[in-house]
Amino acid sequence: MLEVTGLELALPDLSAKRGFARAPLVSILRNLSFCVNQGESVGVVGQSGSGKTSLGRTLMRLNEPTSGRIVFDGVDISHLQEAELRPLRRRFQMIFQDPQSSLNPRRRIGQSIIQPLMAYGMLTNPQQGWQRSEELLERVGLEPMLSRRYPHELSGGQRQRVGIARAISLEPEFVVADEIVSGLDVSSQAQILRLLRRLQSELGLTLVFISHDLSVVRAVCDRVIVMSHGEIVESGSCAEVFSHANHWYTRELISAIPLPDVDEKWLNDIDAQDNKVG
Amino acid sequence: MTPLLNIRNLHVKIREGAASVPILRGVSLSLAPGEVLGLVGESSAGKTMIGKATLGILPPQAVITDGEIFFDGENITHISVKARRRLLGTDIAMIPQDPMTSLNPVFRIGPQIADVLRLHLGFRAKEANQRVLELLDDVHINQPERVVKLYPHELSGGMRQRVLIAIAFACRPRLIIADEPTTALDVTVQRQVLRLIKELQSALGTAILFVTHDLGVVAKICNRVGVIHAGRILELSSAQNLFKAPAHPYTQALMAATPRYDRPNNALHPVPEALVKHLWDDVRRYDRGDFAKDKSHA
Amino acid sequence: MALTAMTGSWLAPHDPLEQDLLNSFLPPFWVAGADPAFLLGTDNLGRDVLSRLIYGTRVALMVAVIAATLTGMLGTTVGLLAGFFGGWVDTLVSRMVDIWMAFPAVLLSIVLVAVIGAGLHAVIIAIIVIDWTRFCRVVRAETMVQCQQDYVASAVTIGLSRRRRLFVEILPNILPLLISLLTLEMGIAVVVEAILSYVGLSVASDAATWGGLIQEGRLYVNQAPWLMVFPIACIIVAVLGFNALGDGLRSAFDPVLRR
Repeated sequence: MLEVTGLELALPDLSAKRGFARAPLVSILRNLSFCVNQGESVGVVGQSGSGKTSLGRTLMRLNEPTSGRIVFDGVDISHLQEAELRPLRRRFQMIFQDPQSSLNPRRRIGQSIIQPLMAYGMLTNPQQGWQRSEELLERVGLEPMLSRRYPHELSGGQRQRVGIARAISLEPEFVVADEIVSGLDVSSQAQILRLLRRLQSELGLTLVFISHDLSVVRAVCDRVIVMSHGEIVESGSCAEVFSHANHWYTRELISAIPLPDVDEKWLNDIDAQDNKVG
Repeated sequence: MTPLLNIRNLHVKIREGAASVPILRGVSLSLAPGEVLGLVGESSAGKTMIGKATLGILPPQAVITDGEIFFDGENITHISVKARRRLLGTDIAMIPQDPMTSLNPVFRIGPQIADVLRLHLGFRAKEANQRVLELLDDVHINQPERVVKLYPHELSGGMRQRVLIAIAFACRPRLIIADEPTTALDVTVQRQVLRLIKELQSALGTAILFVTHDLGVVAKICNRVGVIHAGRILELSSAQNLFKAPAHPYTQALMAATPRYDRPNNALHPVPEALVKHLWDDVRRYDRGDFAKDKSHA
Repeated sequence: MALTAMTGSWLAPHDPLEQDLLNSFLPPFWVAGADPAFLLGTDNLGRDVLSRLIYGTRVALMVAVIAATLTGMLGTTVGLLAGFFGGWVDTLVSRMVDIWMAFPAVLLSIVLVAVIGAGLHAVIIAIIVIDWTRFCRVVRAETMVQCQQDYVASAVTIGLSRRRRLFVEILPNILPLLISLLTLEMGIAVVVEAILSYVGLSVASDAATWGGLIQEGRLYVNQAPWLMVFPIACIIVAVLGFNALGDGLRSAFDPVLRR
């Protein structure tokens, strides 16, 4: 469904701007190549600065790649203009990280949810709009009456579910979820992950799940791609990568996760050289 | 032996408009010298408030309505500002959560650390600067002479957190409140920082009240663990016992909701609504023995 | 204030222009020797202070509303475009604003009025010309902040055009800020009008404006302090009133503030 070849992204680094000169470009994504098959859920993991969020946004064409290709269901979308992209956009959607800022704070929930439907002219009257929004809210396990509320009246977990409702409203084939459980309590996180799994099987979605939390990715994804400094360091099925990681970075990442088991050796199990920083 | 920190039946309420919302509803715990006690719970469970109440830095709308806090036998619940100033920094210190905002962005690192030394230990400028270099070395920062001249935004998140740890340990306090110190860090950096905290803690015999939402972190660094929800401590026991056989249903629910990469086939179960509701209505503090006797909550 | 301005002609007990030299320098009603027919006293030419203040309200309000609205429209439009499009648009606008703000405001307004000719329309134009930069800067900054928010990115993913993103998504979130700025500007407009009429550059000198009243009162401040005090008080009340209006409007219309 999605094929990425040699993807590169470089953005101007405004903090390094000197005087009136143009800001120097800094390479965010370097020569990335991978594919995602239909119906798969692929996790993209990495620490801060790895470029995983930028990858998600570039896949959604919120950024234009500097070079390389993104092919979505046979169509090269790498450098299409807005007008050409528009009809395709309804087939790939994104769920954003921050439930606080991803919903327009001055719109009611119901209006935000059906906004994609309205943008594509799929609603005939306002009544139908409210109805659809209530249906979608139920689909993600929220009470329909929440559609009249404003985002700030909902909890973080609820807002995130609204974000999901919005993303699936157009019944897309492909969804990118960018750190959607990061700010949530472990209980809300469990709810969202279960919801996501359920929706994925109900709608036959292809999912790219971006997260810094490997344990979460393990719970949701079939395959995983590990990123560091804008490059793919390792990729493979979750079962393989987690039990026999090839790359040292992946191994280090996995062993750094504290499992909820008492283990005195875990703290001391680091190479001596790691300990000095500066 | 007198516990270093003894909190008895602490009640804290927050004023929101006309109403008063209870945040802590009878929290009791004690910390022995040199012990690391973890407080684990979800956000807004009240765990941060316990640390803040101990330090005396509760937000203005929050009030201690009942209960007492004893530090080394002395009642510090409502002491004067002056007395508290003598305590803070020297006997009790804090490692704050967000390294980005906890350091003053317009001052270099050196002076920010030196401040603590000059204020509490009466160091003079030259001695303070020397000591700062030593402290930075304690937290394993390379080339401290270079780092003292840097501004906070020029350091990585992990390094900033080490600076904050250096500041916390600077006066060799007997108790440190660590408020989610590794939450904002990458997982590899977190491990290094946790290791550092443990190293300094055992070398100096500092007691630590370690507040976090992460069960994994608590398992690795704490001697004893308290599980807090709905303003009360639901379970308090040694880390070993808690993780081997959690007694309280809430603790079990938390563990069932936490994903583990080594057990991918475990289904994730959110904490049941009924349990949460029950906890807000009525809760007794569960010791291991308590629960064994009280089968009605099974 | 609005009421007073609108009903001024009926409310005012006397014709503000009517001069009555026999009754000059009467003090306000609470001081001995006052004439109750002239509640707040009279000025050097026997004109009733209260009536003049009331007519002055009309001028002040007109200037405030018209000037603030037009200034706001100009500044906001430019600011929105600069903030949203960035790039050369932003650079151009920002440089222009910088240069514009480098001119001393008072001098600029005096020059303007000298060129256009005195009168209310001149005052309004002067205010627009000088103060649009205030709106522009703030709106630009806020627009840039809003553009970073995910709900804007979200709008892109459903294919909304740039025009729709700007007006339908971002603008409502700028509105509360705009309301505050507008009411602030109204207060400023009143003060600027007072300054200009003090300097004699506003409407004709015997028409009643607050600034004009202050100017005339200045000459007699030792004999008849009330001639200066009352118009100043009016200006203060007006500015405070506009600010309160702004707070009230924000609370009433902003769903985020309304809890």
